[in-house]
Amino acid sequence: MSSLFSSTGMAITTFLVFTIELLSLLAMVIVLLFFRRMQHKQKELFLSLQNGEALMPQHRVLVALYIFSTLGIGAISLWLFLFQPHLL
Amino acid sequence: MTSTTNPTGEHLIRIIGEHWIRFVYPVFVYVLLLSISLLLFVLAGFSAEHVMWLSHITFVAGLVLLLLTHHWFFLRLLSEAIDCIVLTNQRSIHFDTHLLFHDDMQENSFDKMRTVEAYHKGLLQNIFHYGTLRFQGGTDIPMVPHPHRVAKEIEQAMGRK
Repeated sequence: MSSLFSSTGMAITTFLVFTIELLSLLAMVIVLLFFRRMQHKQKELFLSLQNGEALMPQHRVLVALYIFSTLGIGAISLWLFLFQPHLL
Repeated sequence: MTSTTNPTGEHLIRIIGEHWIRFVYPVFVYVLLLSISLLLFVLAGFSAEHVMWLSHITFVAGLVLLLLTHHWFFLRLLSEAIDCIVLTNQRSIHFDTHLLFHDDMQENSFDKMRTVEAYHKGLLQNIFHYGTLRFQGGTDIPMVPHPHRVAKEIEQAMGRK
């Protein structure tokens, strides 16, 4: 871990990798917020048609897959960068 | 899907998702770009012991490509998941969404509309049974699975058959 800041180049790379990972999480949050907004819009229409519980699909599996794969990619790439560069 | 009625008399007949063929292009691009980013990671690993600066550049490039591809792919998937055609006894509503970029909702009321056409065009559409619905007035809905069957249902909803 101490080698992460052993040189200017290494420090810049470490900063870049962490910034990219944070931006990735931010991108996921923004996409999911837009998705929820669209779902809410559709739900209003469905409720107006049916007087009750909406029949609209929730896409929970797709959302969960997006969240877990984003977190997984982030965790694995950080692990490779920090601890196991020889495995790459 | 079951049908339920609201006080205005409008009830849901069916929700029609678009054809699965719309996923072929994003999946192809995703696999291609994912392979390139994995190659960059392998290159970063090979050069880690010898040329450190090259290893850093290829690692960051691979990571950026991987994450851009990943978010683009899921943006497409979620956008496509939202897209559907809602058919009621009074109208059809088509959601055409690309999250972050555009959000269209086309509505065709059966009061003003008398005809709907369905057609397959080309080899792929005939093989995989998808096509386009064309409403009176020129509104088109592409990528509809079994468009003739859907057109028949719409005509039944219009009370023509």
